[in-house]
Amino acid sequence: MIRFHKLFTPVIFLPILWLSGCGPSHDIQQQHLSDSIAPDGVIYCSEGNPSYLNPQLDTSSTTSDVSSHQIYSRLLDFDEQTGRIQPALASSWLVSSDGLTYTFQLRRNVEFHQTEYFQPTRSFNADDVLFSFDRWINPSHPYHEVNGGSYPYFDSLNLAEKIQSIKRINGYRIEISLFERDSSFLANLATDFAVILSAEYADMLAVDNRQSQIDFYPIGTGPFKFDAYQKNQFIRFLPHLGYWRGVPQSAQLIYDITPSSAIRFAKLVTGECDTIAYPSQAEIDVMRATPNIVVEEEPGLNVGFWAFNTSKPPFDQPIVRRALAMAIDKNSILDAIYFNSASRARSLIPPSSWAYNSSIKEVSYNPIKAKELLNQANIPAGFKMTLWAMPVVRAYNPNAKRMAQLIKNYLAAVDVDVTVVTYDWHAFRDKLSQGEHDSVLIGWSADNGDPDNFYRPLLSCEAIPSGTNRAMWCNTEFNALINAAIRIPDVDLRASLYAKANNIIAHDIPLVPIAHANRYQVKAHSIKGLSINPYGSIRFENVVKAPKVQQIDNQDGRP
Amino acid sequence: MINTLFRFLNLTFITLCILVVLSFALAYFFPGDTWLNLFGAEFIQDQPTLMLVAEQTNVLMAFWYYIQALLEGEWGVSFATGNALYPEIMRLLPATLELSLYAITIALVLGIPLGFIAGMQYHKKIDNIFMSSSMVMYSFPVFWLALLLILIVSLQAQWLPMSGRLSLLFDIPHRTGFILLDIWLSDVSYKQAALYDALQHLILPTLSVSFIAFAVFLRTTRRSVADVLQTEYIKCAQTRGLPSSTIFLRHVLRNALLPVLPLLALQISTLMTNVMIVETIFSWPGIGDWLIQAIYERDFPAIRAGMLLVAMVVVVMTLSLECLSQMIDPTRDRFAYARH
Amino acid sequence: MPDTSLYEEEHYPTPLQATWSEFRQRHVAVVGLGILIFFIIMAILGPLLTPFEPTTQHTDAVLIPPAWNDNGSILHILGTDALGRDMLTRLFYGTQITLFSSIITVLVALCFGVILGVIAGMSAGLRSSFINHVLDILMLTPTLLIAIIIMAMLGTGLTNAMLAIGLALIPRFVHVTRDFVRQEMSKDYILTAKLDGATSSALFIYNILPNMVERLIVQGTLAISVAILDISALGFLNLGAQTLMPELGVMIADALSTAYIAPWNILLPGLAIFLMVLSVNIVGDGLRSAHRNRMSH
Repeated sequence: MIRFHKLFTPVIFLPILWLSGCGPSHDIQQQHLSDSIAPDGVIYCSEGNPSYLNPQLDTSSTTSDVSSHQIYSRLLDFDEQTGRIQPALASSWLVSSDGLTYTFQLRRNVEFHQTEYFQPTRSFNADDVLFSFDRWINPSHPYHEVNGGSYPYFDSLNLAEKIQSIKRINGYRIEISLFERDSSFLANLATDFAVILSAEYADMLAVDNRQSQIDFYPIGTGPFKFDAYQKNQFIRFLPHLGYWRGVPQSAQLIYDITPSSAIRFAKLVTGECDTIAYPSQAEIDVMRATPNIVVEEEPGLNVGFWAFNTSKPPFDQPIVRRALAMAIDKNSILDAIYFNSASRARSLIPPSSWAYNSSIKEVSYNPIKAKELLNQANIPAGFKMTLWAMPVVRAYNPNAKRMAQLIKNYLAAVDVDVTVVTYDWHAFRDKLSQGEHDSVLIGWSADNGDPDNFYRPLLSCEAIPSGTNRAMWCNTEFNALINAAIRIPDVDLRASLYAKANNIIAHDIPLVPIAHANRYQVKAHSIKGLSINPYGSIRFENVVKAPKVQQIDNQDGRP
Repeated sequence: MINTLFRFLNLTFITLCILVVLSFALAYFFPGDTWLNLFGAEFIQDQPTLMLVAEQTNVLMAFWYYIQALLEGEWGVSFATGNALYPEIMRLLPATLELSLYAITIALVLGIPLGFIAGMQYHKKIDNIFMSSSMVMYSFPVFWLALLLILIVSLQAQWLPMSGRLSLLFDIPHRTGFILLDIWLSDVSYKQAALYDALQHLILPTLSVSFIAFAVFLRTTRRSVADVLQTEYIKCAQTRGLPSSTIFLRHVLRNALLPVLPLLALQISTLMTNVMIVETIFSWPGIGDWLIQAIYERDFPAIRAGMLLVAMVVVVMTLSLECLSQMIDPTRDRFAYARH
Repeated sequence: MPDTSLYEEEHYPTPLQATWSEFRQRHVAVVGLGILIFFIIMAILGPLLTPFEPTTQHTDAVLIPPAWNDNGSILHILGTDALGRDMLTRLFYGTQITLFSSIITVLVALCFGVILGVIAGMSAGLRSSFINHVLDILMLTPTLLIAIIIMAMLGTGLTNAMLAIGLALIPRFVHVTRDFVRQEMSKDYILTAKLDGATSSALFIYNILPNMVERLIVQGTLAISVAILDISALGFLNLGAQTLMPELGVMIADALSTAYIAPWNILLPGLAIFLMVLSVNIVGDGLRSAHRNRMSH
């Protein structure tokens, strides 16, 4: 046999030498020491792609989280702690004694973003407010039909019909007149959706006939300006140096789009993200135990529910809906899906709202009675129905697919054959608004503290065309009650009306409320200035990251 | 030499033609309207003659327009995003090529020398160690290996990141698509930190893919070396008393490497499959991840375009290796795939 | 060594017996065979022995770690997954699905491959050249790509995955068959049979096939390991077996969402796949070496 040990050495070491030449050479290290400092910024792992960079066009919280408090400002804001309405772009306001006229004094010296695609020549004034509101109020406005022409939040509340006029009194004063008193009007102006766009930018785009760009290359007065967006990858924001509340302290803000909640958590652990969206309930305990990760918890203004498409037989019969509601055990669903980080929902309204009444009679788990009722309604054994499960994670339902599997099992016990259906989020909501579903697992997070924000978009007759009334349910008595309640400023009177409304829902069961989830915020230890916003989407303007030095000389540059 | 080159070009051309025909045929086999599948609504509207032809459904004319469109760079429009496919594919392809290239290089650079050592020490202790470890290595399912690496290295020890090519804090403009090149060519202030970060992101995906490829290359080389050592002319050289280094350098090395080349070429397709799977696990923004997303979303134009491109790349790479080995050794039997 | 048998006849072992005795001499190969047999038995008998069903969700026993962990329970020896399904049961059923679907895929691919190989080997000219080209393209295309195309045409599911992988495996059997047939056609014993008046098919079935069986077994064994890896990879990507099936790749994909809390849900199914593939590889390698040794004696 050939002795080859003399050849052993070069053969082994040749490739190793070759590989070792791949490192940076010593001289380069000396010269470019500044090259070795990594840029700073905050990375947020978000759960999906925004449909537009403008929350007017979409009620999805993905879109609001991206744009609402980052790119734009509103006339009014909610105080995160108390829920009270605070001045924002409107520095002060007056309400007339008959409650029909609101006069807003606008803040001066508020600057718009300066980007590669737009240089503002003036600061914010009344024209911008007029443009932003007219766009969705006035169907003949040149920008109304741009990018779809549907403004789901405003449409579901019929806000456009309620506003009689918006007048420009002078460059910094606006007057809005309503047809009827509406106690929730100011709250609606403080929601994520009532953002203020730049009229000058809109005019510039109109000249070049590129109007649709307004929702994809946005300009606003918010703390961050848009830099880049790559679908399914990331969104990058840079600080707005002229922000009226003071320049944000983050050097950049990046949304790392990661649809899977397990991967978001993993990235938080490895340090690739500083804070994450929608942590999975199953992992909250583990997150609490992980060093360098902070978990914050607060009861949420939300509800997860199972809605029946009451426009499709046999789901138009209340007895069928009641039977199906009796067939499932909410408690075990709560345990398996929410891992005890939510409370059982007995009505649409969560206990933290003043419209909640504890005397609601809710349906209890009774599969035998359920089968009886199904037989009574002449539903044959093996009846097939679809159950649509939303593909995204939301606070009110962290895993709709799994919940759908559990419900499927329960309904199989009463001889109902369920097919679980899902699509990607955009297609899912489109098809839901067409009414293709038999039933759907979805929910709602409140946009403001007003209970009307639960009832109107979810169960009013007017909300059917805008798509937010998933049960396609229209009950005249219920509608009358909520319309009456909106006109009364007295909270107790409103509460009694809402109590009656709750009873109607409990009796008719257009939907089965399942849980009110706690809201969590999970972030790295080094992040300060980020708190849970119960009244809207996430706000990054005050976020500061404790500095960490990253240099090549250090072997592990992570804290 | 010219002969083989000519044959190779001929073969590549025929293969590409077959792939294009296949891609065209799939438009009929995939669900959905054939013409929309092929061209997308806008292209049809631009060509009034195409509209007329579409009504007459003449297959040959359709094929002719399809080839025209392909050569113009109009590869269709994605169902999911509505964007043109060709620019999107071309943007993503370098990422996949980069990962494959680094994985193959590491597997070759480590696998071939170690394979030689194993072959020379045939059936001795070192050989047995190499054989058993390489068998264990290539029995790993690649997705499980990648997940194990993430669990241990990224999550437990937190040494390396687990997704993407580069931390999003670095804003490197896209020039060639190869991340290391792009960083080198860019004029940002944090070049070195960016390079370091990119290398950190590269390690785990490359390791996952090259782990398996290395084991295969090692075994293939070792088998070839062992076969060569059994041959008459080596034994003859030994009996003649040539020093072992001469025998090794002049005879064993080249003769053992020759049959290895085409066998390695065959591994390219497996490597591609592994790269595509690893891309989804590490969120590596390449063609593999994109194609798999396309199949989830039933984005048929995207699937066809991606399939055409990946198949073309793999076929061209493999056939050029074939051609190379044919040119070096004309006596080799071309259809020796089955013999390992 | 002198012949010391008492009887006049000498015992010539058949090729298969010779290969088997060579195989037996390598201890590693025998161990591998033992592991493989263990898996086959597990796949056949396991589902009959387990107390639970693979799809039963024990909502009170969710994410329990294996019994050797502090929080584990002996009721679920290998723990449960996020929906409360028993891991041991699912491993048994999963092994069954993965192993048997791979074997079926390989057998079907083998049959088609042999038939095609015979046609290609016995014919010449344009037809064989065309078949060669198509097969080369099929062999060069990454398996995942073929799977994606089949999924796009026919939809997802385990049977479509098996179809795709079978398609990808056919070329290697064609090559073995064709090379062997070509090689043998020029040999004398075939010539003798032809002179005797044998038809092509008789030639193949009685003369060539018996010699080829061993090679086919070797190739087939190696193909099984490829098939197991590919089927579980497609299951992992949710392109093959779908979420409800207890297929091993699907189990790993399901376990991703609770990877940090419950890593055993990823480790155990992956370990099962790894050991199955390893044992098949060891056996296949042993068979190949045995065959080679037999040929060289």
